[in-house]
Parts: sequence; structure tokens; C-alpha cells
Amino acid sequence: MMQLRNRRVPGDPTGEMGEMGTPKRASSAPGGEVDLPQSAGEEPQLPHSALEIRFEHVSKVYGTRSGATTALRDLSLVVPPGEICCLVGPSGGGKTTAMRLVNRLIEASEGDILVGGRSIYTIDPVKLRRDIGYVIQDVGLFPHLTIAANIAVPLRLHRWPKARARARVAELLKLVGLDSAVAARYPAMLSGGQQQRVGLARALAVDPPIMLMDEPFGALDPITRTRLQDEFLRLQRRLRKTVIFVTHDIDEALKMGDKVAVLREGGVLAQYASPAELLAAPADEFVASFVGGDRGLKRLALQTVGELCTGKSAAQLDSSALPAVDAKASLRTALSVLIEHHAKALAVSADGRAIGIVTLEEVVRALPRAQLPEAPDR
Amino acid sequence: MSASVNLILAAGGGSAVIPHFKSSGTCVTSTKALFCWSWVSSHWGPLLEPGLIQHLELTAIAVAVGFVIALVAALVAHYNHWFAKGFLGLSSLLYTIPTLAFFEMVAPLTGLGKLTIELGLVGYTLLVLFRNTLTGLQSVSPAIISSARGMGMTERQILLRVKLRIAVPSIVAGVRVATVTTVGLATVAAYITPLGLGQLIFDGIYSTFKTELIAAGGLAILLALAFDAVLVLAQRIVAPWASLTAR
Repeated sequence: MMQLRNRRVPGDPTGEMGEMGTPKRASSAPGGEVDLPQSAGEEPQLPHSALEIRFEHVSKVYGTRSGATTALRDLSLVVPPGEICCLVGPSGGGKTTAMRLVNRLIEASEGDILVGGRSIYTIDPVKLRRDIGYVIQDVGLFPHLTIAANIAVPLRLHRWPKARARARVAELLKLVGLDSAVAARYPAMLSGGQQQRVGLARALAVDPPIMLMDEPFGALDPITRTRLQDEFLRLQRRLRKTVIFVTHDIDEALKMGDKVAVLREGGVLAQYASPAELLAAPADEFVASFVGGDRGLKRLALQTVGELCTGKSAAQLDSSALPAVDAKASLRTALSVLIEHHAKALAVSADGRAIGIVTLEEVVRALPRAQLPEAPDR
Repeated sequence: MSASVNLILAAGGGSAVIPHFKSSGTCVTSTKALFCWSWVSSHWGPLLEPGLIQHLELTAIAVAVGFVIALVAALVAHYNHWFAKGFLGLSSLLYTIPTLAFFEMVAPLTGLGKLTIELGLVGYTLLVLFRNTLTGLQSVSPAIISSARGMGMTERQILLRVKLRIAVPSIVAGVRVATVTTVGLATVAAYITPLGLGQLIFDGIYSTFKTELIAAGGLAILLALAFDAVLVLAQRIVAPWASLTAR
């Protein structure tokens, strides 16, 4: 019945997948399909429910009257279990197409997609989709159902008993940071941010091993977006889903992604790498310009002051006259503070205690030199 | 008193040759009064109440039958573009035929009975019921359908659990218009066969005593308002969310 679950991944590179086949999963009732995420604690858990997603030479061609349009060309990439893969690129890059291929809302013209080692084309689309969390920019909540009923829709599709579904809904509301009072309200009574939280709760309802997110925070104001991004990352540390996250915003991709796939017009994969790699060594001019001229600053944003300021004693230098930053602040923030104060060094503190200093020189040299693609011949 | 009324009813109200005032009591002698309450109270049981109930029945049957036909047609039309066009054309055509002409047209086939009236009335409800139902089904936002499909609903579940539910306000709006219109049209039906409030209205028209006309007409208006109120109330219960999303 459950097509995606209870499958071991042959040749799992990380060795983590072996964990998901343990009897603990099989014992969960009813239908034996779903593990509830543990609600206590924030420590990372084994990615027992995550599955690898593997694209193998996938193409999508749309036939039109005026000829064929290629939306995606020969895409091959592997999203390791429990990681967030951001698909980013300009419109026409095929990023949404690539994502919707995974739950078969779009069928590939060529190639295969394997989830947990199994081709999705051997699975009934409806059953496949019930095991994949799906979040879209417009949320798509059902206006005729209360929030509680909206979140319970996937549970109903999985035929959960009512009492158990009700308990799960309460748990999910807490998980996504919503007050239990919203349960009886209708979507039209909620703000955009709240609606997207409900959308997230609904997608997480059956604890699917895979999440597809199509610009989930794209329609929100910047403050709400940042908050939801941070909360999702915190959730993800706990839930360890395999996530495909589509965005057109490179900053969001660099922030959210363990890996970032940059697609260019015509659906060609330009580069697939970690955010740090992407910034330090863009594969070509297109990627370099897409990540932006301020990629040096973006790289600084990926590292904290605390990581730079290690093994130094505060007693060595008098830091009292220097502007202070928290050890958890990014190097980018540190640089900004340095510029603001016309300073050459900063006092670093952790939990209110001074732990050392960082100098402007250190910040500038914190990262290895970037390897930029050679400019094309003019 | 009641014997004479029964006699008139048996002869058919519309077909009375000799002008009659029924037992109009004191009002007949002082005809200056436009409206006579004592007539209403003395004729409620034998005339007005049966007329009202018949009228309610005519309307309810017509709208119910029309609703079932329109719903099925709209469901088919939702998936078949050509059927949508065809049925819309047919129901528009029915709608343009004058009521009396329609009754005259079908009467040779179906006789001068209730069937003829219901056929005509149903024909008139189809256009608004069909169009509103189809519009309701088609106006469900693509995002909602996409998320329904993405979470693993079958097409049937999407239709029954999502589209049809979201179409409720549009469908109810259609039913309200159809019902109020049908209450009005059903009065004309008495031209074919003496049923409902229309029969009393026709009587009243041919009489110098206007109380019967006013009372029957007033009851028809009240009936339409009552139907409408019940439908509004029903929607509040069935789709309490509708007033939130109305823009």
C-alpha cells in the first residue's frame, strides 16, 4: 500500500538509510505507514524517514503547434536523504517543471526519477503523491474547510481514525507555531503568513519522507518570509526530510539549500553544488552573474564570527574600546559593523562574555580565494 | 357557504362563465374597499391555503427537477467543452420562449395537466441553474486544484470534495434566482390548468372584487420571499465560510 516507505535504499552512500527499515517503523499503526515526528527536544535525529531523490537524464519536452519547447534538458542530479536541494534559476529555467516531475504532476519525456532507489514510474501517481508533502506559493488551502479540517485532509486520504487525526492536527499546529485557537477558523480569516504555516502543517501531516516546495515563501512580506525560512530550517534540523525547494531568489536558495542547483534558460543544469562552493567557484559566467557581484559578501554570510575567533584569549588585548558583536553573528554582519564604526577590530562576545577579537584583516582573509571562471573572449 | 365554494372549485376557477363573488360577505355591498380582511379569513381554508400549498409544490418540484438535471449536465459539461456549449445553447433557447407559448407548444403532447406546467417551469430553471453550477465548478482557483492533486486526491475526490463544495455559493445563488422566478412563472401556469395561486389571480383579474387578486398576489410574493430566506439560511448552515470569501 505504502509505496515509498519501508524500502531500504540499495547502495545508499551515506549509510544512514539503513535506519529507516528498522522494526520501529513497521510497528506504527494503522496501516503501518507513518512515524510521528518526536515533539520533544531540538537535537537532530536520524533521518529515518528521508529518502534519496535521483534524477537520471530527465528531459521534458512540450509539443506545441509551433514546434517543441524544451522545459528541461537531460537533468541528472542526486538529492541525498535528509537534505534540502534548492532549484534556482531565471523563469524558463525549468525549476518548477523539475520539481513537479517528482510527484508526477508532470510526466517526463525521457529519463527516470528514483525515490529511495525505486522508479516513480512504477508507482501509482495518486499513491505516490500521498507520500510526498507538497507546498506551493499560493498555499491552496481549501476555503470551505476549517484550518483543522484542511490539515486533516492528507490524514483522511490515509484513512486515519478521527481521534488520532485530531491529536495529530493539534500536534502539527504546535509544530508550525500556530495557536490552537485557529483550528476552528477558516482560511480567509488568516494572514498570508499564517496560511502558509497551515500549508506547511498540511504537507507535514503524514510525516512524508519527501517534501516538494514551490516558492513557498514567495508571496510573503520580507519579515514574515525571513521568520518562516528560519523556522523551517529549525524544523528541518529535527525532521530531516528530503526537500526539493524551488525559488527564483538566489539569496533564499543559498540560505535554505544544503545543495543548490542552478538552472538556466532551456532547462539546462548550470551547476549543482553546496552554497559555499557555488559562491567560491561558480562554474561559468552565467552562474557567477546569477549569484551576483556581491558573492564575496554572501560567502561571509555563511560563516560566523565565532568560527573565526577561536583559541584567542580575551586577556591578550583590551577589547573594551572596540565595537562588539556576538559570536553567532555572521562575518558579513561583522564586516558591516566594522564599516559602520570605521573600526579595524571587533570585540567578540558569547553569552555576554568577551571571548576575543577579530580584525578587519582577518575578516577579509577569512575565506579562501574564489576561483572565478575565465571571462569569455571578447 | 362552503358548498358553493366547492362547486366553483369543481367547475374550475378559471372557467366560470357567470361572474361570481363567492361568499364575499359584507365587502360585496361596500365595494369601495379595495381589500377585505373578512374575505381573506373566511376563504383562507377553502381557497387561499390550498392554492398556496399547490403553488409551493409546483415551484419545489420544478426547481428540484431542474436542479438535478442542471447539476448532472454541469458535471458533464465541466469535462466536456462541446457538451457545455450545446447545453448552454439549448437552455438559452428554452429560456427565450415566452412562457405561454411554451405551454401551448407542449400541451398537445402532454395534455392540460400538471406535467405540462412542470415541463415549462423546469425548462425555465435550467439556464440559470446550469450556468451558475458550471461557473461555480470552473471558478475554483488553479492553486487549490493543484494542491489537491499534489496531495494525492483522485480526480473524483477533487470533484466531490473540493470543486462541488467550493461551488456551493454559486449554485445556491442560481437556485435562489430560479426559485423566485419560478414562483412568478407558476402563476401563469394556471392558464393551462387551475392550480396554485395563479388560479386565484386569474379569478381576481376577471372580477370587480379585487381582494382575491391582491391576496393571492401577495401570497405569491410572500412565498417567493420565504423560499429565498430558507435558501439563504440553508447556505449559512451548509457553507458558513461563504460569507468570508465573498468579495
